[in-house]
Amino acid sequence: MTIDDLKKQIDTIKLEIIDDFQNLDLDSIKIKYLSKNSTFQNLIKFIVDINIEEKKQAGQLINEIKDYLTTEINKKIENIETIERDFDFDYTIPGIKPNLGHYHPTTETIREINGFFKHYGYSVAIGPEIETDEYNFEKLNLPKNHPARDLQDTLYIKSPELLLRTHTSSVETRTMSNSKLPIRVVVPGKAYRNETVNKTNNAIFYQYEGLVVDKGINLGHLKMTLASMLKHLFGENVKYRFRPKYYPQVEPGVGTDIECPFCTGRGCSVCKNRGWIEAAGAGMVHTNALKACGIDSSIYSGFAFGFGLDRLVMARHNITDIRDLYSGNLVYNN
Amino acid sequence: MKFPLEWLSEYAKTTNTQDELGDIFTYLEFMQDGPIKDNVIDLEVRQNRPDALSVIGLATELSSKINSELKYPQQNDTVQFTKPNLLIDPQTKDQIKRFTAVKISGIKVSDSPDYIVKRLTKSGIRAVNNVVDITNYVMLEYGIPMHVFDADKLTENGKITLRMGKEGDTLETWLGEIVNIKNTDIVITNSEKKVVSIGGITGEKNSGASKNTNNIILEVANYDETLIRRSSLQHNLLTDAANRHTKILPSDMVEIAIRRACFLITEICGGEIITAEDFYPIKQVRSEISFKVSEINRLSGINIEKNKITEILTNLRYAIIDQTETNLNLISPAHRTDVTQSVDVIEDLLRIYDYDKIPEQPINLAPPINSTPKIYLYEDKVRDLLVQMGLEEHITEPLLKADDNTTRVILENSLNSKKNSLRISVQETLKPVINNYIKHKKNDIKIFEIGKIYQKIDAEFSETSVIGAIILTSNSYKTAKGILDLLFLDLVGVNNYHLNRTDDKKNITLMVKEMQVGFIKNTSKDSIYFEIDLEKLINIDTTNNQSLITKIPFEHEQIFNLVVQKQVLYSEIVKIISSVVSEKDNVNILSNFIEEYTDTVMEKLNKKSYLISLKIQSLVDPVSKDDFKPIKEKALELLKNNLNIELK
Repeated sequence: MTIDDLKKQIDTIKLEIIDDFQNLDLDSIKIKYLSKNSTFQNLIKFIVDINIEEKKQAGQLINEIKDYLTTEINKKIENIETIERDFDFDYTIPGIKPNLGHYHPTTETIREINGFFKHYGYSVAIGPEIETDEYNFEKLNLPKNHPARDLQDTLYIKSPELLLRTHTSSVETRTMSNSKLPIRVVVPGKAYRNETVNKTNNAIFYQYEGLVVDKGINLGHLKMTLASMLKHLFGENVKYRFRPKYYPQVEPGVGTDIECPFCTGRGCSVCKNRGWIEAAGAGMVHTNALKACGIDSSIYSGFAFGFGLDRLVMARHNITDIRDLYSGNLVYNN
Repeated sequence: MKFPLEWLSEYAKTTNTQDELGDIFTYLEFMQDGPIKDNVIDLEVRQNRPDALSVIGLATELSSKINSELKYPQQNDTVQFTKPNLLIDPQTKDQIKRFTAVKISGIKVSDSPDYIVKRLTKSGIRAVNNVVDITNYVMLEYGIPMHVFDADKLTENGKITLRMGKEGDTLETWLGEIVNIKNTDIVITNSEKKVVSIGGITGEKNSGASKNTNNIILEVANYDETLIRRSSLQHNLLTDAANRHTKILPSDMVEIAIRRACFLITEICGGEIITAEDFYPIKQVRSEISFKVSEINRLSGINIEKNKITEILTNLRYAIIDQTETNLNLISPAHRTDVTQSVDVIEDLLRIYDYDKIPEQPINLAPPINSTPKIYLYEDKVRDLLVQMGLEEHITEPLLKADDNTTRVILENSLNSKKNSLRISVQETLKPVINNYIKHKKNDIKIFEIGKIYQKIDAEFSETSVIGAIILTSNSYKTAKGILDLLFLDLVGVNNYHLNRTDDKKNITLMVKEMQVGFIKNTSKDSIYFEIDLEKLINIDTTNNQSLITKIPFEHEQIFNLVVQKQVLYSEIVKIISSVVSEKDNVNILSNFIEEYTDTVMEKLNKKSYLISLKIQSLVDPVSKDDFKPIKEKALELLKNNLNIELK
């Protein structure tokens, strides 16, 4: 073959390429021009017959056409990708949903509140559910025979020393007894009580507590902490109040209320006509408790707060019977 | 407790409206238990304060808050108490703190005056007769319970005996209940040794004052509160008297109460005081409390002016021994057994001063370093992975009915016999959830719980954090295994996790680096349960072998149809293939399982076929058929020699 023959062949191929690109789809083009055995890929064989002086030129021509093809193929690919297809089908038929599970509503609520407190430097503290009388009661200023213990309805494993914790406050006494100061923790977790079960009471329930012990912690700090939390949970405009309330483990003790959302403070059966609903119990950690945990109460002071989580979870998810939360009655909507 | 407002105002005059009073008491630590009805305020008294269960106690609080005068009612100040003539069993020694008894002769029992009937009725107590009513009246007034005996029915010479209960002692209450007295009850007996009262709780039906009573013994006592509490709970006698006796009563107030009652009885019922005895072995200790005034600020963030401090403390009946700008030295009020240290005083001060005066303050201290335990974060990480894989989280009560499994933790006193022990596996409480899904006609069921299992081994109790999951789909095992493969890939890396099977073929154990971290088992015909011990898993040191791939690897792959003996495991095949090493550098050898196939012919020959792909891969150099060939041949040779595997 001479160089001129080659030129003619290449020109023919170019025209063919232009034609094919109009009429064929990309896959057919690829098979025709890019397969190992295709004519196009074997053009290089023709160089063998060409004179030595013209071999270089022949090689260049072949490379040119190859580049041309590559460019055209790339253009076509781009084109395909930018062509806007019409939605010419029923676009309302349900799609193929990927598989996604669900978190338990209590988990979601705990994570949300944890996240809020993390912002203020709180860590999460956890502890055992099988607990000793010492951490669950004694160190909380609830000595044996204290009448407040009766209200706790304790489930015992081995009375009176071993029990299922009646509140997550046992984790707080553990933290105060065993951790370095200062302390800033939240304690979400399960607690147990020995009660007849009904719509609002269950043998297990979730609590959310918090504890801060440091130098110079006072009621003003407690108030702002609680106020911020209430605003986060119930909105910036939530009406709240702090009043004295008795809890053996704190002194001074604080009861925190929010305005009853059912009657906007006017008084109804839900809020026992008070116009306010209890949101959290709180107070300054009792001197006896600090001492029992080995903390010098003349240098350190602390506050603690706590509330039942289930009522909040139920309100947010429209659950009216607490037993549904932990009995497996929940089935998630997909 | 119900408090008639007109009675309250007899001791603490106020011009406040009812609504204002409701708020005032709320902020004094007594919440309203409902709206004010019929001029009666109903307050919640939670505190360990017996004085709060009394009209004068509340009046003291109110007058302190509004800084008004507190008026005490009239009492008999002339009666002299002598050494007691009682017969007190030495066994009761530490149980009786104070016992006072007054004999009044020549009384006339009839109806009480109107004001007493009204006040009792409004407080929720039924009026009986003037003598009995007075004891209830003074109990409500001062918070100190008392009892009246018909002296003639008591003994021949009016002697009272106090002792601990004995086997066979019984008592019939006003309501006709027969109580079987225990040796932990303190009792009062008459000369016939018959029990006429369980101390601190209730009197015998026929021993009290009735229509024909002429002579009475009025008794006001203070007992050890734990004793009274035990008696009250054991016999389920939760009387008004018992309720007050279970809080620590101030013995000093016993005298005031009996003087008050004496005054009312002689005035209303007539009669003359014959004897007055006082047995007072355990004196009330009033707390002496000293502290720096700066403590108020340290705990609250505010200061209270010196004059205001004086005013509040005086109104609350503290005795101020010494007060300077910086220091306070006080003695607790006679009626307040709950005040023992400086924080109690500070709370009183802040309560009366007003909590609302304490401004909200941000904490300006540096937060401590993060102390959230790793296991907590690990649980959350695993939770996220499982939810992303389509599983639904549940939280189930870990309580169930005990069986004969000796490792189960049993609860001593559960009220519910179906929930008297703790679960040893999450499966036990998660399984019923499946039934609910089936009822809702769900097909693909994948549920999990991250929670604790509890065990008792010898005398040691333990609780462990685990994942438990139940899978019920058209191929539950494959679905479960897929989840586990992905989970362990992320948590421990691909090469660190493998499976074993127990000899009885009932369990598959999940192994990470030779340690068992969990298991898989069938729960029913179609569903699978797996459990993973998170505490074990978190302790195994694993580096995550995932790496991001940015380069497109060079690969060469071929698919083979292997004929395999039935009992051969895929993991054995993988092990052999992974022992093959490429002579070229940077080349990985990978196998992939595609499909299992069997038919009756193969079954008879005890064989099955596995369709697998063998692939060589390099991120550095292109790999070709020539690189693949020796590896393929080596792999097939090893498979044939070790596992008798042939190509189809």
